[in-house]
Amino acid sequence: MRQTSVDKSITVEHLGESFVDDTSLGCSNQSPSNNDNLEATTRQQFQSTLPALTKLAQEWERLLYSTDGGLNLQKSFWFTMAWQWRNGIASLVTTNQCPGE
Amino acid sequence: MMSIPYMAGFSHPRWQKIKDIMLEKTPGDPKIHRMRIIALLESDFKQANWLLIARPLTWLLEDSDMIPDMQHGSRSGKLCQSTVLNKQLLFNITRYTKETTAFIENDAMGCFDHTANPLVLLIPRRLGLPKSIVNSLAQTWEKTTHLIRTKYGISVESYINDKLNLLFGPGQGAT
Repeated sequence: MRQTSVDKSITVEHLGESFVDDTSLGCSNQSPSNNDNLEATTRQQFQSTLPALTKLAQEWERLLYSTDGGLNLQKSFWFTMAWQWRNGIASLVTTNQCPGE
Repeated sequence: MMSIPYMAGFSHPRWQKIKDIMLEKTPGDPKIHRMRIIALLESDFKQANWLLIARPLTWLLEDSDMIPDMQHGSRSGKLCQSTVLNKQLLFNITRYTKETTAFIENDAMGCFDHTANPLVLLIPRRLGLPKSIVNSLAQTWEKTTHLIRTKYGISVESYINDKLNLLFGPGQGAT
């Protein structure tokens, strides 16, 4: 994940947070935004972020598997924060608007 | 005295007896699949593990910068609250910058009690732990006998680690 401060002066890159066996990983969108069509940009960014997250999750699962562990799928979950713009106001998209599958 | 088995590379028979207790994950709801097994080890075995294995290896890993920054568990100078704070700050920044971000919360299954012992024992050797210590530890894990401790006392019957029914993990076996 690459997080930039609001004034773009500080950038921090990290994978997530971990406490013993509980891990929170994430990835942020790296593709540039198109200010002329924000609606399309949101969809495009969403579509490009999900494969990255899938890859990250699979790599993590393989690391655990290599030491005879595994992911507890009943306790693992994912979510995303994507934005839609209406009249200059941003709001989070719903699952129906941007389904992950 | 307690470090003699580790220095000489043998396993003390007393260290090979482990008493298991089961704690309810949900208090008042003792379902068999909702119990947490805790292995009670001999006190001197635990102290020897801490003094001769855990402490030197922790220092080595920290000094060599081998533990990733993202890990907050069981590390001096790190707080479990930091993970929560960092996550909250991350969500706040995402809200401010309106970046598309995706998160996955992973829960590892069998983190402690499902690790392959031969593989686990290779890691401290790789990190420079003396052969006698790893030998002693390997023998202890291999010959471990588990007894069940309840409010009625310690069980007569036991279960052990054998080739047909391998127990994994450092004492807290896959039961």
